[in-house]
Amino acid sequence: MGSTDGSWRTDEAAFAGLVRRWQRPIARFLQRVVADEDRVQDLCQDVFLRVYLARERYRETDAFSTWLFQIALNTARDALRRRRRDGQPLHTIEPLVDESPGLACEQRETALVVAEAVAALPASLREVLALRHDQGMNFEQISRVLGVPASTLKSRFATALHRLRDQLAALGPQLEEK
Amino acid sequence: MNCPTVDELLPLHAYGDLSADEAAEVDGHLAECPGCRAEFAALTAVRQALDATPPPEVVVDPIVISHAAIERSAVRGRWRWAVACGGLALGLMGLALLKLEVRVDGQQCVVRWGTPPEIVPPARLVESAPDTMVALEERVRVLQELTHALAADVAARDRVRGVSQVQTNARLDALVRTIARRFQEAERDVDALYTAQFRPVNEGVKP
Repeated sequence: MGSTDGSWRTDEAAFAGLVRRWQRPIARFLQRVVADEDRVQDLCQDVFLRVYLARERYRETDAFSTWLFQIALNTARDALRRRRRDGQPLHTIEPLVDESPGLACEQRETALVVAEAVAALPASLREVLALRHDQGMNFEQISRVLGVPASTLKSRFATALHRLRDQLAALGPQLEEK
Repeated sequence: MNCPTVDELLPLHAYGDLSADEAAEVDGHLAECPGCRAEFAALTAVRQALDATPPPEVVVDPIVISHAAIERSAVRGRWRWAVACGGLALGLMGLALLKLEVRVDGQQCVVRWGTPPEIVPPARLVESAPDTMVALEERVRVLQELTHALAADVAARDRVRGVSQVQTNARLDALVRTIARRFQEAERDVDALYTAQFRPVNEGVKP
């Protein structure tokens, strides 16, 4: 995950470098947790805006990635709250992976099935799945981001994977065959 | 290890999150159990499938971020000013409604709210105390005259009462004399009647 020095707080060029370094991991995290491809770009922008505004409060003794993903988590949870308030259920959101260029037809179908299966998970399971699978954090690091004991997170992660296995078996039998 | 225990550990094993001892135990069970082996293969397939979803292509512009931050700071600043001014106005209105009064007098600080109670001066025990000797002498003279007048009145009443008493005594004496005279007359009448009734039978002897 790596850490970063504090120069980005005062140096615009260093901040631009930080954005370039972290924009893809943050976008991936938001894609998994919010499960709404249309909003990822705006939410990603919002995360870095929050980082910029809160830069004075960042302490260099803390791991930068933990702090950054806490901000991303809060942004994602705010977005989910707004969506719940607007009455838009999660399972009706269809990820736009089938429009991704450069993917073979079969790959696009698999990606769509997986995205739907992930979107059907509860948010608490999507959070731990995104941080463990996509960001490669260990459970102690995830515990610091989410403020949940590592043992609980291991249990959630196991539940998420089992549910995905069931969902994918139901939605896409071809995965089992591959 | 039995199958349910292994089943709980398989997701962690698929990601290499088990300790070396646990991993060895799970691997030993997988070598002997086709059902758990199939489950482990399915979980491994899920792990691979998760990577099938391509990451979103996003481009975050740091210039846009800094401009948005400046704009948001300005908006926040305006909001803070508006809130501060509104709070100050509300506070002043509240103080006016409370009629708050803060005063520093000598060695005391007075904080008072509401309408102050009406100050009632203490009642004077002596309404008009003599201020000078002349006034005192005048009051003594008036008191002496008042005393003399009261004494004269008492004496006059005594005299009237004395005359009334003498007249009453005289009337009582006259009444006593009248009663005595009437008693003597009645006694004579009784003697005369007795004599007239009983002399021929027992002359000179009373019954």
